[in-house]
Amino acid sequence: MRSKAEAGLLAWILQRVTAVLLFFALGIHLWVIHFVEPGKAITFESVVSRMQNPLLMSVDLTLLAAAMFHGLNGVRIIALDFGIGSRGLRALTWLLVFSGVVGFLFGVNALWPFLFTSGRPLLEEAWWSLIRS
Amino acid sequence: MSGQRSAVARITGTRRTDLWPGNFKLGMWVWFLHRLTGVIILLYLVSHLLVIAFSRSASSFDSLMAFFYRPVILVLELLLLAVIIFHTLNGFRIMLFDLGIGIRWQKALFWGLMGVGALMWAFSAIILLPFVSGA
Repeated sequence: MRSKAEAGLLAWILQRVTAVLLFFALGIHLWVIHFVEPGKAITFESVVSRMQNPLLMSVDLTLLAAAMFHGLNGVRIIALDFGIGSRGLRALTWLLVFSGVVGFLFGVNALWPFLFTSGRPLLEEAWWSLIRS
Repeated sequence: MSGQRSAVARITGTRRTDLWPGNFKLGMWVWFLHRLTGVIILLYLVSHLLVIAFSRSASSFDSLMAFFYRPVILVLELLLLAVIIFHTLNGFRIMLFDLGIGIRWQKALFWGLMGVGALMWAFSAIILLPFVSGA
C-alpha cells in the first residue's frame, strides 16, 4: 500500500466486493438450511452432511471471511461518519484487523467439529495441551 | 475552527441543524438505519459463532437446536431476516449511487426497493410461519 488514500480506496472496493459475495453466500446458506426442506430440524448430522459437500463448505467459509471483513470495515465506516481523527482511525483499523483475524480463526474453529467429526476440536486441544504443559 | 463548515457541508448546503435527528429527512433516516441494521447483523454474527463454537458435541448441538426451535426464536429470526433484507437492498441502492445511477430519484428508488424487500420477506414468512405455531 503506497498511501493512506490507496488503503482507503482498497477498503471501499473490498466493501463492495464482499457485499456481492455476501449476497450470494448468505442467500445459499439460508436457502439450503431453511427453505429446501422448510421446518426440517437442524441437527449435528445435517450440518456434517452439508459440510461434506465441498461447494457448500466453501460457501460457508466464504460467508465467514466476507462477513468478518464487511462487518468490521462497517465499524470503521461508522467511525469515519462520526468524524474519527486520523490517529484514532489508525488505532481502530489495527484493532479491527486483529479482531477480523481472530474472528475468522474462531469461526473456522467453530466449524471444526463438523468438518472433522472424529478428531478432537481445535480449541479444546489447544486448551488441554496448555493445561498439560 | 468551530464556525467553519466541512467541504461536504459547503457543497451540499448541509446546515448544522440538519444533523439533529428531529430534522432528519428520508435519506438521513435510511443512512442511520443502514448503520443500525449493520451493527445488529454484526452482533448476530458474533453470537451465531459463539453459540456454535461452544456446543461442539452432537448431543449438545442437537439439544441447543431443539431449544431454539420455539415460537419466540422463530419470530426473532424472521425479524432478523427483515433487518438483513433491508441492509441488502439499501446496500444495492448505495452501490447504484456509486455508479451514478438513481441519485436524483433516490426516494422513489428507496421505496421501490422496500416494496421488493416486503415481497421477499412475505415469501419467506409464508413458508416459515407454519413452523412457528406448529413446533
